[in-house]
Amino acid sequence: MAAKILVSLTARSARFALFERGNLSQVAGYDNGEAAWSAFDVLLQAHPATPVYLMLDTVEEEYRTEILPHVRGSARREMLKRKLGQLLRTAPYRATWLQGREPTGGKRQDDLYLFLALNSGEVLRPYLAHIQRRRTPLAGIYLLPQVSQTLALRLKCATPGALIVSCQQGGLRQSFFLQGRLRIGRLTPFEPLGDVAMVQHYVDEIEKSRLFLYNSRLLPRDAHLTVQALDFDGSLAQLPAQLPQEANLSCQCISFEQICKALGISPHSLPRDAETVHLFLLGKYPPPVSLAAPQLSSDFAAHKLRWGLFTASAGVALVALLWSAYNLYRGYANQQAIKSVMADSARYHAQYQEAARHFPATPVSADKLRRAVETAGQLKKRTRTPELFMQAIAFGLNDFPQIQLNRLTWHYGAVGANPSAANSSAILNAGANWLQHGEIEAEIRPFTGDYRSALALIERFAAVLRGQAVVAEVSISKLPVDLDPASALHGSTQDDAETKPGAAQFKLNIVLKRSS
Amino acid sequence: MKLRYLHWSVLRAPLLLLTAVSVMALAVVYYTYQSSAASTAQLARENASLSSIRQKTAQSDQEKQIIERYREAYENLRRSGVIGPEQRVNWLDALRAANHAAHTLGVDYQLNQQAASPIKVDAAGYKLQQTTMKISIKLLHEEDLQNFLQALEAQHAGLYLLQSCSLSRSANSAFSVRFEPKLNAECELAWLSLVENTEPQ
Repeated sequence: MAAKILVSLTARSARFALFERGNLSQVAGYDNGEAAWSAFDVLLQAHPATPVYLMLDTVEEEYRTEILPHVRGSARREMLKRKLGQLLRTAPYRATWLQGREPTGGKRQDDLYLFLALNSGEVLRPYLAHIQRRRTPLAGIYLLPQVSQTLALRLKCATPGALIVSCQQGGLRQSFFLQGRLRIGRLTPFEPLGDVAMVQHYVDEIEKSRLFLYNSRLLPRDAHLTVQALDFDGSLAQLPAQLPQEANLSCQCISFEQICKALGISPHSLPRDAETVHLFLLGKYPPPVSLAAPQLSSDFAAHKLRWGLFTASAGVALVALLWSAYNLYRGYANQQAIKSVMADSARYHAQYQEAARHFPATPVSADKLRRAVETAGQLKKRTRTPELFMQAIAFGLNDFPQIQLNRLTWHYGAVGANPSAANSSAILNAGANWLQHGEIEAEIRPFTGDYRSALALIERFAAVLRGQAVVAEVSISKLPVDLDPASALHGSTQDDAETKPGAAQFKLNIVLKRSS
Repeated sequence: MKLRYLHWSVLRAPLLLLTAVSVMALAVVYYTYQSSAASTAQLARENASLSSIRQKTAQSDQEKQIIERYREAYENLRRSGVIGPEQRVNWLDALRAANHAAHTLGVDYQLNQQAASPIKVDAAGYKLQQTTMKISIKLLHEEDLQNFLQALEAQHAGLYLLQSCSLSRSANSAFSVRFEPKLNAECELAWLSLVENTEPQ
């Protein structure tokens, strides 16, 4: 399928070509009339859904250069739309082309815009009618100087100002570029002339253009201008000599070979005429800005979107293919590794079975055997009896015959299990898990009612208990008399201790050291 | 290009194609990824199994030594009821024998049902069960309690942890030459059993 249909139109002629894989083909020229329209329709029919690029070389063109503030987004769109309406209000085909930043001094850099227009659509009308009837995607409508910008950039003119002059089907075409950017174009229709007359005609028209550039201030008078004349048949050899010999003017005759070299193509790949060179440029480097309104290019947008979707589908399929291939490869590699590992496992298993045949008979595995015995041993080591606790109490009681033990309670377990022991902050801080601790309930006999002596006796008894190596802490939890200011107290000094056993009862909490 | 100018009809086919391709691509990638992930997981399992059997084979001599070293102790523990189901009859026999040996004046007992022990031990493959027993012993003298506990230990009826004991005077504790209990001891002990854990770890 053809990639692009290229059309070059002038008021008098039409030329069509196909652009496929970087090359022009089926180049055909007609007088601009019924024959050309029919040929164009046949071309469209032969290559449906192929985008059409229309290039015009007519005198009904207009160029305006404007420096506008640098803005973005919707503000830029609104500004350009308004400006386009102001400058080229009546033009049926018009466009705005950003040509770069224009330094204005200081930090601010404004944007330089070229406003282009085609003031008459008469030449286009029959072709657009065929395009719309065939629903062929219209890529864009361009002026020939737009297409020449790529040539100006490729020719790398040494001076800022360059005037490319060529003899086209429509006449003598002059396109002025400043710093490689299009500023204005001018077409002068003419009838075929002899070589000498032709050179003179070139000189006259170039001088007119120079004068216009200076007067319109597109080029300062002291700025150097290079005239680049496309001379494919050597007929313009006298042109540099015929032009005024001024310091700020120079002239180069650019041969077909030089152009092919600048474009990086073989001289044999193109017909030797300026029209075809521009068709090639249109196919290879279509300008970014089209004069066609969005409605006209809607089929081309759909065409681009359609190919974008096809490309996306291919991309998705390719990614999925690669990903799946990687997954399959990984799965295959894993399966191979599994086979190898299973073989190794079977070999080790056989070795182990052989070794296990010589093991003594055992009801459980060796590991369970060891764990069970060691766990039982650990538990056995934890066992305690109250013997040590009772010995500690008995040792204390030896020096206090007047203290009679009524009750002894011993606990062995985690600290905190016994509320009375949990009161011991020292033990809680020790972090011991299992401790021996307990409580004794005792009384002083005989008790004569002397609480001061009784309290002193209990304190001494507690101190003796504390002094033992195995005892961590002794605390008094109950005294014979309640010394708490918050509680009530009653009794009688007439009380006889012998008649009231239990009057001097007290309780001690005792905690043994963890190591005991 | 504004969307309102687009002829959507020409996009129907490529959109359908993109949708179909995307769905198929997702399905294929998902299926192959699942397959690959499953094989990766299987490989990890096989590697772990290989590592285990390799280590087991390398340590077979050591395993044999462990069996020889612990087998007898294990059998003793099993016979005494420390490993396996609890042996209540052994415990009651041991109480009776200890009472007789320590010359205590009778032992009352109360057994709770077996439950998981709150004691934390590192015994993978086993769970520690405990049965709480409360005993009340009538004593002539406080030393009889110690004698009783020593006698109970000597019976090797199982593994127990004595958790608490309280010693108090009997209700009629005035001095008397009569052969009657002077003290009453109440103890709580936990009989421990290691039961093989059949639940998955």
